[in-house]
Amino acid sequence: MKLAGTIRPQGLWALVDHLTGQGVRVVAPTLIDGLCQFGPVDSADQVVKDYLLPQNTFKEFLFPKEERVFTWLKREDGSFVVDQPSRDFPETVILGGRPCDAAAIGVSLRSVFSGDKFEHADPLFLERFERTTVVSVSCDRPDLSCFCTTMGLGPDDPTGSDVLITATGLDGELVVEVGSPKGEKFAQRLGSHLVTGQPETELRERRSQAGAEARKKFVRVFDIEHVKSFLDNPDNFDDEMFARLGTKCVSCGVCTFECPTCHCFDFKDLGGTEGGERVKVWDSCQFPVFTVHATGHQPRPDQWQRYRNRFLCKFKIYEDVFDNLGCTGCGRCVRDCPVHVDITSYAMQANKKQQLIQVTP
Amino acid sequence: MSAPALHTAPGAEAANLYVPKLVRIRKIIRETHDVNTLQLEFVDPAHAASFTYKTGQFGEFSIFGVGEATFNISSSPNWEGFFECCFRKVGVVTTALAKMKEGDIIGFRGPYGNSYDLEGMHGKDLIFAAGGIGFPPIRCLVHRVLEERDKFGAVVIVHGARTHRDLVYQREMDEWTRRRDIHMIKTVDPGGDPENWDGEVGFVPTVLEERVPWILEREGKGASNALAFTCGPPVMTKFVIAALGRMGVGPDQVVMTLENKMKCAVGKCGRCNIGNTYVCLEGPIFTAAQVQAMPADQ
Repeated sequence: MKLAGTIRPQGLWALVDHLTGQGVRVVAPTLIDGLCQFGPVDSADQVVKDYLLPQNTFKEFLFPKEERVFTWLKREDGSFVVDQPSRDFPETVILGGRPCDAAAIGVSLRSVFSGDKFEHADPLFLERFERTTVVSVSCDRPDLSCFCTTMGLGPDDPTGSDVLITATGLDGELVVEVGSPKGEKFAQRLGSHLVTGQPETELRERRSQAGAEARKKFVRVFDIEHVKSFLDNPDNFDDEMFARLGTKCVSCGVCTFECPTCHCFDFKDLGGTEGGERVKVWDSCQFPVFTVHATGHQPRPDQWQRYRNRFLCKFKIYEDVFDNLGCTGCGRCVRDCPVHVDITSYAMQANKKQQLIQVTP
Repeated sequence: MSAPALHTAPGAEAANLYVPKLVRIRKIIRETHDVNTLQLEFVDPAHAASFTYKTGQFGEFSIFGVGEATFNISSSPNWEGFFECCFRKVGVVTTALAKMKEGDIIGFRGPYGNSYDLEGMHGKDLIFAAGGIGFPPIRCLVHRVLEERDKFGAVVIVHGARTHRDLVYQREMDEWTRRRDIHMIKTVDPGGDPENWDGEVGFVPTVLEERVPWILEREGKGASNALAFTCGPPVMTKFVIAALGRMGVGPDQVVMTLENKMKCAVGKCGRCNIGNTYVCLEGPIFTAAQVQAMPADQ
């Protein structure tokens, strides 16, 4: 990433007010129903400044929970008028995203909805993405569930961010780095709040030091080197660990709805034959109806098989199908699971089993 | 007949891959008490002119206000002016679809998925083994083969259903039965046969194993030259593959078309995967060898 300069927090907050005043939608950590969540803010005073990770991801601003795909109206003569809603999506700045979410949404989720690997591109996602600037803030600490460093990322990783802001700990100094034209534009908007011209080597040193300090604080660190080879072996599909670890899953789907890389959706028709709309709504592979055929045939009859699919999706399928990381270690599915189903214990056990296979003659 | 339906500007429509095109039900053919064939034509002549598909591909069929369902396009791509789908009334969408009338308008997205490798079938002896509503995804290929009958070896069709009342495409089977260059074998499950039943009684895999080997021996070039195509309930296809294996037709000579649940049909909704195989993107047509190599998540 390119070093743009430094700012003070008050410069950032002034920009929030400036942007909202210009009609730019600013999405930032804010209190919604008493919880710190990503949501649209009208002014800087609504932004939660001391936070670790909002409960939701900001994926809902690119891949909405519910989105109109088209409407229909039946005319008296039996003909139909099918209309698409305007795709005049608002210019949006995601302020205060974390590196785990930026990598997950800006790179992995985008790879699913893009036409990069397959011919079908989802313009609803891509056009929103084009008009969204992801301004991430490096984490200065993890919590017990964070494991981004294990996934090859880190608290100050720039992947997927247009702008990365890192506090150096030096008297409120924030280092601003930009990684895309959208990021450049954001830096320009900082105007006189952006201080430039400092000695670059020292600034980079302070910024790297801050990242290194945060990395040291991670406790959920484990080896995933052998997980993929374990999952690539079809004989391991029915390994005992899947039923053992997944039987307690209650099928609530929280892990999938809070996950920044989960992309499953359904279509629902609202209204009736005479007129209505089809909406694209979030769905979850954890629900039994997700895969059941009209004939009643159920490919994944047991709940542990549905969680196995989720684990495979994150640690194998995403990589095989979309050439990208399926999990960036945000830890939400670990943190918020009501029954402590823990994807990191799946990864740790798969890794260990594969290691044992490799050393056993 | 309805007046021409309107739709949005072609540019905007082309950009949103989830918006169906309008098609009119040109004809409804009642195949059985709960299976219907729909002949469909595009409302917009420009859509009709640009529409092409390959044998074995599928589409998403919409009833506005009810939802979308995935069906194989069961007609031959060489038929002009319309295309067909065939469905059994089992779920919400198919129940609503069964109530539609000729002239009614529905939505269509597609075609999607891969197709049968017709050139790879040239000179081969072909076995088609299907059960119930599994026949339509095979039937498109049967028609395609019959259009160029001399390019293929022996043709054997084993078509089964629970009862004689559940056999789809009766009129076509009667026609194929009369042809000397096709072995048309129809069968019903034990107890599903009426008086004066002129077909077989028995499950598809059993009938296949009893009847087909000697046909291949007499008219074909041996098991190694055979290709089999199967679609039906998972339990049927499993035993069909086993029966074919005993006849010397290995899993790499057996072609299946999978019927996984789908919503988007374009690799995004996350529903149809078997392990790392997205059926909508890589399928729905696979060899049995490919399917056997997939995880048991089927």
